Amino acid sequence: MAGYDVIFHFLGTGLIEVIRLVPICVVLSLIAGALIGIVQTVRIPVVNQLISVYLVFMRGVPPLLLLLVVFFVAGFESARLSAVFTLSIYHAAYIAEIFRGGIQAIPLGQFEAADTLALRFHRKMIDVIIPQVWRAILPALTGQYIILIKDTALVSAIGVMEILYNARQAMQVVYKPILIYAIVGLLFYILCFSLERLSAYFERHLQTMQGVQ
Amino acid sequence: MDFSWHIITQWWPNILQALGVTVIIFIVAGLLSVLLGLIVGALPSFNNPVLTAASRIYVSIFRNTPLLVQLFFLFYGLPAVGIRMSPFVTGVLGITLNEGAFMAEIFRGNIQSINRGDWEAAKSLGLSHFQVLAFVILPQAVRDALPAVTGQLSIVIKDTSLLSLIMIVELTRVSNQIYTRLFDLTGFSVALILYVTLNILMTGLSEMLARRVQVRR
Amino acid sequence: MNTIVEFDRVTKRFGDNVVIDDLSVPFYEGETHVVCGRSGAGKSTLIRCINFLETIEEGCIRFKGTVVDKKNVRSIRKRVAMVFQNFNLFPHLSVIDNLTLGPVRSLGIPRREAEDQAMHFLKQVGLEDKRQAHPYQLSGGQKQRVAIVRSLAMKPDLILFDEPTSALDPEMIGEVLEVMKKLSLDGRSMIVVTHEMGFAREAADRISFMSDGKLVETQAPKAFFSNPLHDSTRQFLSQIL
Repeated sequence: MAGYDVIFHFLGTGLIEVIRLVPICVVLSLIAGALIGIVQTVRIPVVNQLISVYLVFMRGVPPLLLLLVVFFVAGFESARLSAVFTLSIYHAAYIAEIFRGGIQAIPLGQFEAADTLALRFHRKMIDVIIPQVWRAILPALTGQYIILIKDTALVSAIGVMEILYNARQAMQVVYKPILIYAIVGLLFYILCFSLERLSAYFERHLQTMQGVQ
Repeated sequence: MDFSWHIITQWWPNILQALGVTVIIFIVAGLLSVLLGLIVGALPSFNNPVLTAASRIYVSIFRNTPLLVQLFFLFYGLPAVGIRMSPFVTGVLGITLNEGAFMAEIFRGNIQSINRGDWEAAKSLGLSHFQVLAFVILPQAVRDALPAVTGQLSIVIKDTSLLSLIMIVELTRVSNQIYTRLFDLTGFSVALILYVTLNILMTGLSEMLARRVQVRR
Repeated sequence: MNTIVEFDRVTKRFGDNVVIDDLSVPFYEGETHVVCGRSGAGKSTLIRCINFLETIEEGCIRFKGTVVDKKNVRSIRKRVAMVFQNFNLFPHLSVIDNLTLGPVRSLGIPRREAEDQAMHFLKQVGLEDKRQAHPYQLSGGQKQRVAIVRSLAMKPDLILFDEPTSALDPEMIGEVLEVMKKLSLDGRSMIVVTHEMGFAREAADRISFMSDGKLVETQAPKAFFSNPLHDSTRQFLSQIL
């Protein structure tokens, strides 16, 4: 039937855009979040207060509003760049909290043993603490990145041509809103669901690797 | 970022009204989603495979798809099959269905972690399943769930901003309107401040509740 | 005899609680110095001050003439090893990686050399077949022996033992004490906080009894057990033996 190829084309390119956006945002927010989370556990007076303000701000602001503000204020070359930046700094705040919690859950003895071996701070973190943090925070991280995937739907508001934006384009040609939005939902469902499965797999894998302690 | 008192005073009535819309939608959708979550979250406790599956499927669908897609489905999709609702009703319904799924997960977890002995003790008194649930289990589970529920409610505040995309003039939309008319960012500044304030109030309320609950224990 | 660690009028508080009270004491090179006393007497805190895991409020601690402070902390920790009550092995690393982490990352020893060295020590404690095992695959006694090897691998001038057998099941205490006795015989400098009076009697060169933040008395083992000078020591010994 005519029209399905149009729907398929538009939603397919939208899906590809999401698949391109998400990994970049994951990597950026993970790096930023990990650094912020680590800095928080060290307690540096002024820096820590600035971080607290950032965290309270990000907890309170709706991501859609943040997308609009950054888009209009920061003047990135493209809407896509603006979207990547916004989603990354927004989710980095949540990742930072997850990391901080994960680091604080590591027994004090691990820090002391590393200190006793005269390891420098960055080596202590890289070789001893962070590898142990991963397993504990994996479920929380996955949960956050499922939210990130869903938040990519918002970037249509600043004109990034992802699934939802293209759905509206498709509707200009084939007016089947129920069908189109159902497919859009299904695509997101598949993305989120596979991430959840992937994380469950890694969790098991990490467990067999490190044993049960 | 711009911040002009002139624009604020000029637009104040609109901003105030939009804030009112945001708060009202938050309260209505928040309450309804807690209620829906409570019902759906309690379904698995009946040990009826159909009810449990229904609850699971609902939660899985609404948690794993974006709220905005759900809103567009209701707003653009349903009228195509003849179901028409006002933007306000659509918005409240959308947020309620979406957040209800998250609330259900919270309540389900807390109901599950209530001691089995409480069920057995209450049933041995001759109470029906529903009576045990209503008078013995839920009061405890709801109390345990309070911190998580208030945390989820602060997300509902942020959810309301999506309704700007289905023609509801709330905070995000009014600040966008100011920008498109005047090319001035004051409206965004005001909206940011108001959202963050609402969230801080909500966090304060949740911490107060959490302390209360702890004291009573 | 050379002192290796010297406490000079050291006071340590946790809030209002005085844990180490105006303490002055030397520890000597090549000696095994056992510190005993009731729990809460400040024994663990005492040795944790030496490698700067705890900071002191007043006085001064010197390690081989170097003041223990923030500035010197890394150079001192390279030369002072510690064995913990709860082993504190790194659960995500294999035994061999646990043993080489310090030498490779802190001392800058090439990995191959560090591994050879670690295997040498591992053989001495009879665990060479566990090199690829992870800590969760070891018994408590094996974990503590690995932890001791981890401290030896740093080629330290001094080893601090913080109640090394207190977390072990009774049947595993012996194997750990055996290793410690061997080290003591080798003439290593060791400060050992422990309740194992049998070990103290056999292996210690000096025994101190600690109470209320002070070293009430310090004697050679024979005199310590047969002729304690203080009532509080006598009381402690009569309860524990």
